[in-house]
Amino acid sequence: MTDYRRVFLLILIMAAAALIVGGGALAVLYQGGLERDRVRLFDLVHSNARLLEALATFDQRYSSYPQGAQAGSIQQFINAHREFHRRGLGDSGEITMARRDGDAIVFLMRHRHAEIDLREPIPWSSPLAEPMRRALSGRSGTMIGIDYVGDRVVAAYHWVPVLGVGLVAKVDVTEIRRRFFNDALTIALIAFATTAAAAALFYRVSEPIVRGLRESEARFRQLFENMGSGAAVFAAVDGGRDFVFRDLNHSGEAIARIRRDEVIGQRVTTLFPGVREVGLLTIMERVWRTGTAERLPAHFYQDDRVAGWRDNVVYRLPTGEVVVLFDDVTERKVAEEALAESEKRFRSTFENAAVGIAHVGIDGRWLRVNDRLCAIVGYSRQELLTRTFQDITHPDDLASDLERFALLMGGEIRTYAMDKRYFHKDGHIVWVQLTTALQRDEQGQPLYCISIVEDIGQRKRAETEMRRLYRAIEQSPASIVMTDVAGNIIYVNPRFCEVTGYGRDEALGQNPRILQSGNTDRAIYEQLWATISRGEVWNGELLNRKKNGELYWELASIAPVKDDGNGVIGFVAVKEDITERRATEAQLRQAQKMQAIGQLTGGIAHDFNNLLTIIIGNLQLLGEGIGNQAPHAGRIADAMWAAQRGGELTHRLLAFARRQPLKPTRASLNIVARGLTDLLRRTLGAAITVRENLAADLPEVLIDTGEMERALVNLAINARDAMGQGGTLTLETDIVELDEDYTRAFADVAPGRYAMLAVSDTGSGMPADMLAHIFEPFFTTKPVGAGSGLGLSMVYGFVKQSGGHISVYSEVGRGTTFKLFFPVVGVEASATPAEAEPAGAISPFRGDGLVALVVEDEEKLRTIASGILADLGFRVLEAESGDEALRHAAREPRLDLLFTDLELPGGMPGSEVAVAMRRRFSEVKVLRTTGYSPRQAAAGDIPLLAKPYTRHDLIQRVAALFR
Amino acid sequence: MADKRLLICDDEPAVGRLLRAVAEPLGYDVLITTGGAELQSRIDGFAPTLIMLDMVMPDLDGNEIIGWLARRGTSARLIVMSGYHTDYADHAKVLAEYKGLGPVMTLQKPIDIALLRSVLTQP
Repeated sequence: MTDYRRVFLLILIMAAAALIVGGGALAVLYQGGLERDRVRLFDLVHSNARLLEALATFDQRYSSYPQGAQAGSIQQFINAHREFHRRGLGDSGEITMARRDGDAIVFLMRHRHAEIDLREPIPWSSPLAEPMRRALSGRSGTMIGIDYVGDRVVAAYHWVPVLGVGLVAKVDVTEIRRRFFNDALTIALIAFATTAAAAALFYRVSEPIVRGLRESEARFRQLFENMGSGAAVFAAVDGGRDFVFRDLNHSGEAIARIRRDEVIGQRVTTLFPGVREVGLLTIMERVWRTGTAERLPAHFYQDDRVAGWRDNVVYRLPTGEVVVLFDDVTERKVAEEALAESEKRFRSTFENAAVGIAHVGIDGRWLRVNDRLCAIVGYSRQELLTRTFQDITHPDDLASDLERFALLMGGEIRTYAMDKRYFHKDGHIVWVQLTTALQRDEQGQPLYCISIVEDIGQRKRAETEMRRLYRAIEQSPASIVMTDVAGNIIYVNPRFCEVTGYGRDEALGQNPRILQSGNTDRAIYEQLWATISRGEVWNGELLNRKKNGELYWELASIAPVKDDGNGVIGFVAVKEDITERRATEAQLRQAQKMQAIGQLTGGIAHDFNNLLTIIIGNLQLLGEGIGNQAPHAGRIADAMWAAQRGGELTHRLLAFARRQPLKPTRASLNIVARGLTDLLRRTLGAAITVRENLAADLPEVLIDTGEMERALVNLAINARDAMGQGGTLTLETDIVELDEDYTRAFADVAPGRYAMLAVSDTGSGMPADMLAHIFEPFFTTKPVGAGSGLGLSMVYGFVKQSGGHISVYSEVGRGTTFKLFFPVVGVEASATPAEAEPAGAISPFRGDGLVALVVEDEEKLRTIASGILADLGFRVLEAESGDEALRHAAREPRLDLLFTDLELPGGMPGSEVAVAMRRRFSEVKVLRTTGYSPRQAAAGDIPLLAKPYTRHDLIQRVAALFR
Repeated sequence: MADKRLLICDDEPAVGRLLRAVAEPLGYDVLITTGGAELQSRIDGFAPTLIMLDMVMPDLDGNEIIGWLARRGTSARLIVMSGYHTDYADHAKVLAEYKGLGPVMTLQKPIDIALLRSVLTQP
């Protein structure tokens, strides 16, 4: 709108200019015309004055005009003008002539205004006829003044002194004006028309420009308003030290949270105090000065009102205004920071991961590797990047790796994981777990693989270790049971299954009490639990029951299993089936008992012998003193007989205690050794293995086999003492030839064939300085009182007396070997029969499926009897009293054998128990036992087994009952 | 028949008295001790020509006494007696002779008086 107004204004201005120019021109024209009239009038009056003067002058000389020459001249002049007075002067022009007549002006000639009577002179002082007054005042010139009529005229006046008249030529101003007005009107009309035409033309020409401008303006305005960036236009103030807002677009309003009308004219530093701090103000000033656009990259702007990340571009408009474009990049910045953070995190993850990470090209080349991977394979990053994974892969793993790699490339699998081996740079093998995934580009083409490489050397070793431990446990000769804290079985080894008859599946999840036989005292279980609950190890023997009901003895070590924090996470039981051993132990106990009895009887015999020595000796002395004096001699003889009977008894006691010494006979060392092996096995204990390695066709030697046995036992006992931690004792026989080279070194031995018996142990051995003395009597390495120091001396003496030779080899920490050499005797058939079968040969009787009840108050005896019967196949119940036996009977549907002690605690003797059982189970077989002499306990035909009974005794008696 | 001094060492005094009853009529000076310690303390004052030694005694074993005698040396003859197994005395005899104490005689309890007399009358 304003543009159009401007256009109109311009047109008006143009018109006004035309008017002014036209008016000016008219005024100049008017003044010019007036001046020309003035000059013309003056020329006219001047020329008329000259003419009159000339006429007057002539008339003065020649005129005969009646009224005088002057009058004539005037008349002539007047006449002359009658004809031409209007010529060249226009309608109102005239020439007048007057004379001063006193105080009046008398017109002599005039051509106009005849209506006015001018006979009356015009007073001099009148304002009228001003030009004539000036002429009559003797002056000549031009003027605009009032004429005699009172019209305003342009007049030229001239004094004609010769005639004393004045001449005035005049034209009415009105006429001049009228004449000019007509001209001006014409000009104005023309000017107006021209101006109007020009204005119209101007508008036509300017209108498209204006419209273009307006469109452009609108376009740029829209652009400005709608641009995404905030835009503010500033004008510099204070010499560029501050700026005021000129404009602000919509986005600017939104970003700056302020309305346009609030900012226009305001200083930027007032509204946005932060611009100085972020440096924007400086940039604006610089841009304002230099005109070079600048950018202020993303920065954080903050003031009391707004805060956020901003990005500014500043440039200068041609107007000198400064434009600041600003974007709120907070979101982008936050996103960028998040991205940067994310990238950093991922990079950090890659670089600092505790596992090896690599990007591997599709050709297998390492593209990017992290430090951990370098550490795993021992290569530096540079070294690794020039290699491929194939280069460092163990050849045995390469094929399967490549195969999976190909599947991965082919898209058939997305990832793969495998345990494989790399070669460390120094050559050793590194076990790793490799997990590989493929990265594809947008077109799906394989880019590179992402591989995670984990060092599993430790794990592998742990696995190996675990496997080893597992194998050891699996193959352990001891039963191993593990339970959780609640006591549920979580593991059993095969030996357990073998011993108990329970399959692994049957045992898992069960409580170990499935093994309880009911024969173990409740207090033992309580003590067991109390012990392991305290975190300690329980050791003990348990009589348990197999799946088939068979009872068996276990030596159990039960311990809590603790985690790192010392918390109990379960229990482990290591158990050994000691049923056999207990039987052996029972035999050994028997043997020990016999030995004890032997010692006892030996001791008794000694004391008796002392007493008998005194008795017999004194009786002999008495007998010597009395002679044949009756009846004393007879009495002494009787006493003597009795004492000698006592002596015989003690002799028998001694014979029981120790075998009688034997004389040298032809014997085979093999038979002696074989005969002793069983004894040694039993005597030396389970920790020592006894092996025999006997030569075939060993020639016989001449020895006292009793002494030989004693010597062997002696050596074996020494060997046992040297093998405190267990070991192997080997009895070996061989035939050897001792040649002269050998015998020369030992002065006391003759060359020849010898049968050799060697006793070797794997014990502690002896140093050389000790070896030199071991055969000396009283030399002992044992603690004081533990040995007599005579053992080896006796062996030595025996061998020497037998014409043999003894040698010893020993090495500290390895063991000792004694070799006993006896000279071979001539080959003659020996009458030595086969070795005696040990007592207790296995009876063919079996009690499988039968139920036995053992009633015995002494626990050890009860256990022995139960064990023996269980070995026969009986299912064995135990009772320590008659009452308990009755309780068992009440529960059991059948009973086949009652083995009861006659003397029982609790007031119910074994005989009553037997009666009660017979009532309940009519078919039950009863075997009684007693510690008293059988004669005392004899009662009817009920079988009675005297204590102490042997395994053999019991088995035979039981077998007899069932036969 | 000078210088026949019999030192008896037996923990049973009655045995000692019996031996004395047999030995003194044969001309022996007899000293009875009832243990190894007593023997050790009294042997020098008595200087026996014959020692009868029981093998099994509460304080010192016969073998120990033999060892002791062997170490300090003695010219006395030695008769070892045992109520135990004959080996016991036999071993002691072997030991004593090995140690240079021989000749050593053994007597098995109960001791026969006649046998004892014949031993005591041996030169």
